[in-house]
Amino acid sequence: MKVVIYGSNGQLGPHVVKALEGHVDLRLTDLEPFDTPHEMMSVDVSDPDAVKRAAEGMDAIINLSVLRPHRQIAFDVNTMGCYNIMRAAVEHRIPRVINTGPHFTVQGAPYEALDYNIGPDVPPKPSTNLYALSKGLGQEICRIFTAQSDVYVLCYLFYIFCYHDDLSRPGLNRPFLVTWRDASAAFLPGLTIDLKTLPSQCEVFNIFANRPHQKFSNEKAKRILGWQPKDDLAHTYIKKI
Amino acid sequence: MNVLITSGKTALSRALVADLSKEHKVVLTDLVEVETDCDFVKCELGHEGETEALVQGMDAIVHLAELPEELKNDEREIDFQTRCTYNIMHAAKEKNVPHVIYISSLSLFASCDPNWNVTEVWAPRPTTESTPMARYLGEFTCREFAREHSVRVTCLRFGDIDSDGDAALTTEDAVNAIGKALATNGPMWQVLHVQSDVANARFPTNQAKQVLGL
Repeated sequence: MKVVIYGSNGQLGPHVVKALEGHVDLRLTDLEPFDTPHEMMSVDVSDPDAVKRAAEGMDAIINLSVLRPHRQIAFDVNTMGCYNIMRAAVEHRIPRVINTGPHFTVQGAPYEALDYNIGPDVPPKPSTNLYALSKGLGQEICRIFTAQSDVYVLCYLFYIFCYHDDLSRPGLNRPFLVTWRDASAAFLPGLTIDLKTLPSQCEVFNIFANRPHQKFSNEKAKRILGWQPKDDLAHTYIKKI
Repeated sequence: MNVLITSGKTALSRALVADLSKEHKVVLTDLVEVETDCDFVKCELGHEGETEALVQGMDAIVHLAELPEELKNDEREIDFQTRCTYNIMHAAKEKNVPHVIYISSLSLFASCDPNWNVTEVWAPRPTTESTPMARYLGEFTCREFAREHSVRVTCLRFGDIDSDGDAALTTEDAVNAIGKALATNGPMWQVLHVQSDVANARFPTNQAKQVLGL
């Protein structure tokens, strides 16, 4: 299987590359060139022609591109990037796209402030936060394309990442926490799952560790993808005696 | 009332200015220069203070959300309806503009069976064509601001202006609907379907008639 990754040299990208090496052929892209043993292309996801060129000949697309604080670039990357990627998928008849974003792409402040056991299939309410809304619009674009084409989109939502061997960082008693290696382990199941077994052409998954908070739910990712977070992050929520 | 109208180059904005100027102080804006006797500010609707300056002191914004013809392409349509609409809504929130009227389109339902009685409670199902999809994304953006009670939004989904199809909407009816919406109090988020009473009209407009008194 040939897989192109957009935004592959960001924070999550190198972990995903490591998880997929040896299982699929990778074409890595990012804004700036970088050293890698894999095929590499310099791509700005807001450039439709560059996105299209990078998708040529691929069997699947992973979109890890993200930009948070700058108003213009956030929309260019998070919203227009999805538009360009979905058009490339349709044009090249690529059946599988894994899109990614923060949990508030769908489960934004209106949910988080009030609710518990929040699953990924709630109606999207990203809020007006720039990062959340620009990503939420990108995911809406993906959803609309799946309703009008043969492309399937699996959208993986994350929030806080940590290293399994360094849990000293403060603030890790958060419900939507996952280790880099557990997060990246969710991608191979997404690339190999029989698309016909998915409930619909556009499915959203919460990717985080098994947590007792019962604030959000990761049940769907485990049930449908067969993904299991392995890192026990218990000491991030257990009192120190 | 001080009213800002976007997309000042459109025929609808000209008709709107002629009507609203009788009662309101109207300012027109667009991304390109427009010849008009009305107060006009050319503005890219960017995020570096220009949009905040534009909306300062307004009591309402009518966001016609139509790109000038010479700028239209697929990418620009999506960008305009998402980023520029976000900038307008953000500026409205910052400058305490209480009401935005967002002009959307009944083309969000173009893929529906024409025999269906599609009302405001139906979920939009835009196609991947840039124009209807962009309008839907513009609505989505406005709705999030309304949801958090930052700005009241009236979303008017217009039929096809001055067409002769079953979703036709005359410019006169469109202008009338906007005028009525400006004068009507309502919830933080309200969607209304607006088309003219033509033979075999595709979309029921009972809700708009009731709320706006059309």
